Amino acid sequence: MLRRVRLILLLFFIVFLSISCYDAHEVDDYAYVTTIGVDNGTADKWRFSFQITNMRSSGSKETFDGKETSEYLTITIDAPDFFHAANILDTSIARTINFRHTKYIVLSRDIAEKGEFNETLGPIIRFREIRRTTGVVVSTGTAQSFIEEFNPRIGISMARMQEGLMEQSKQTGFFPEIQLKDFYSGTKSSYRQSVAILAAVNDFSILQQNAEDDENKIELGERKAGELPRKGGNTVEFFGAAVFDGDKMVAEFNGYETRIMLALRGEFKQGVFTFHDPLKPELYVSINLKQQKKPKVKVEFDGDKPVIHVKLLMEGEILSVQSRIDYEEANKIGYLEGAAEDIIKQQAEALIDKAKELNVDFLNFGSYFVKSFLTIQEWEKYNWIERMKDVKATVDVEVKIRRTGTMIKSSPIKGTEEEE
Amino acid sequence: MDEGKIGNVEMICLLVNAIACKAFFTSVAAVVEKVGTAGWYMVLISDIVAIGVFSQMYALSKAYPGKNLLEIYDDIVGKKVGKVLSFISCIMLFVTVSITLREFTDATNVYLLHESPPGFIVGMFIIAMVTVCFLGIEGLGRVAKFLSFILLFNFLIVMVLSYRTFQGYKLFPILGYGLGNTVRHGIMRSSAFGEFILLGVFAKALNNTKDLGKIGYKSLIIGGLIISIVLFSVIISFPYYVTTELADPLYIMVSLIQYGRFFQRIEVVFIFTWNLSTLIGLTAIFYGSIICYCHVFNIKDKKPIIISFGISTYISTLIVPSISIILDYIVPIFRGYGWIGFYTPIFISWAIWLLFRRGKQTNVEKS
Repeated sequence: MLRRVRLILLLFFIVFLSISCYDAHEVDDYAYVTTIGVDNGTADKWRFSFQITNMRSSGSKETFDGKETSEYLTITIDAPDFFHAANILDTSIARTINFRHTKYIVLSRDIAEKGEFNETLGPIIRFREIRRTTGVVVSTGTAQSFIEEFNPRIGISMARMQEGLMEQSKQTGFFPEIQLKDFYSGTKSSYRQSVAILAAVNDFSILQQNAEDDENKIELGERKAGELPRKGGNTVEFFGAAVFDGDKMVAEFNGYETRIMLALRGEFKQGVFTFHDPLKPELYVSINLKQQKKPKVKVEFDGDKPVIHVKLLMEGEILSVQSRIDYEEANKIGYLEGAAEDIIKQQAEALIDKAKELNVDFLNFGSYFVKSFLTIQEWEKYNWIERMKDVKATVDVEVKIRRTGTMIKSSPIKGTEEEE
Repeated sequence: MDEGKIGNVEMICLLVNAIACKAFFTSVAAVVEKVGTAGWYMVLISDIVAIGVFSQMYALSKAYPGKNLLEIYDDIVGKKVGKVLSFISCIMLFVTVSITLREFTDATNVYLLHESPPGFIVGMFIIAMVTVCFLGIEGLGRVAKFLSFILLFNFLIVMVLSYRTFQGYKLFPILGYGLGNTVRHGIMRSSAFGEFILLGVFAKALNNTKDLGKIGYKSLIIGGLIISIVLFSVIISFPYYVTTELADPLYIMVSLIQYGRFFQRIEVVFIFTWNLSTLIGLTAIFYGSIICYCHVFNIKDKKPIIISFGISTYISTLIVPSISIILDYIVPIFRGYGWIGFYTPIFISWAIWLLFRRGKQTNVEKS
């Protein structure tokens, strides 16, 4: 009997202690921050912006008086330190700011160019609530204005829109999928240097400008974030990449450059390549290319100089042929493959030249060269990140068009005025 | 108090948890700090050294069948010196519990229970350990066997799911800070496997002490492989200069698992593994230290000692004021020189047995 009483008392004691009162919190005790931004401040050193989910608005967006409530709110504060800012904001929003669901960190171009990441938002990686899978974005304008516009105009939730946007890197290759862990380790790396997503608010003014003449026309892929000639939809756009030397931003890449950078890093999934028809150059051909395999890379040393041979392997599917030339035929498909290979090779060589000129390894070439060194001391003495300027590189591209879409040939158009 | 008997698999589960639970905490970063990218095979060097020392213990056990390690010490070096050697083992096991429990508490405080006072976490943990110890080695063995397969499955699942963060080049330069440095630290840090002495301490709980060799070798090999897999996966996930910054690299690695929008934040699965493995492992070590203590002072009833050991563990775990002192002084010293405390009693006993007792035993056997 006494044994049973003891057991019951023990169980009661354990249950009583296991209710975790200390750490128990209701979901609405917190204000969940989805995006964090930093600019230069005026009242204090930095200006921090927080985009916070308004949980009251989930479900119905209308209040009793018929007004629409926003799904988010943006709060901006000037402060000398990130956590100081967050702590002070707790006093005005009556909830504790929580970063468990933060999806993006936004640096303004100013902050990025001055190399102030490690003073502003870099140290927050230490905080338990910050996930290292958070995306890192450089905004061409202020981070504050970017965050204010960073919400969906199409009927999906903000969280879905923000997560979905990152997924588009895999579908297009026009911007890299960069997480905090990659960016942070890149700033300290002996193997490579960092890149971040280039983003901007598009005010849609470029679409309304007078059409440029053919010579000055900028191809879509050669534009950067904020410069796309479009109107409607979300005002923010991710397009291109920001390249860093240490924690200092040293270059911006357009969409094409970013795509080739990803292909050379072996991180390109798929994307639509549109180029002049090799047999009718006034028209365009579109093919969807996928990088099915990582690039084949061989490295060697010419004396002290690093030499790298890269072979890119792409597979594709024809999406559209404006000229209706039968590229599906076995004897003509080579024209398309050759044209795609030439363009990619040209762009890759130009990008490697740019890397040498900047002396920045954003192509992750260091990850191949490191295998030639036996010890960390030898590798650090060689000081790879100073060596990019000396690299001799050759690029080979192999494109194989495996599929032709839903058509196996294109019949001519027939009309009374003209016959093909 | 009846010790009870446990099976071979149960003993292996106990030992593997006792050996491997340390890998969930700061040790990974400390290893990478010392040997860089070579950490994953440095552990295997440590394991080989530990297997070598275990072989000596096994030789003693074969020479004195049916006795536990503490009784063997007494037989070889005499009761007085034997008790000193047993007391050294007791202290080593006790300190292991305190250090690992403190690491566990700080990690839990950082990642899970931010507002709970460390005393509460340590207290709860010790209550669980003490409760299991009251059930004796038999209860502990059953719990270990029941949970270990689930824990192993969880562990392997999170390792496989972390595959996406693996980048092969991070294993290079393959020799880390140099082969000599790796071998030196591998030998020095072999105390990471020092918990194998528990097998000698618990020897009488086995159905047959002849199985001690099989159990010991299997436990050391499995434990070594688990720690090596942990280090391998962390080193291949984070560059060496980042790993050295991380308090709990394994937890952070698991928190990076992300497959689409729905399958993410699965570190909770790992927390389950982390908590239970630490509970089983530390309880085994805690119970081992109690057995050593009771042997030294000829105490038959362990129950009051379990409670007083629980209180002592509580105090020694919390006595260090900050994690920085643990990481900068206590853990490095213990991991670097712990082998002296773990292995010296075995070395001394083995050497004396080899030089003075073995011949006599052989003569007795012949006659």
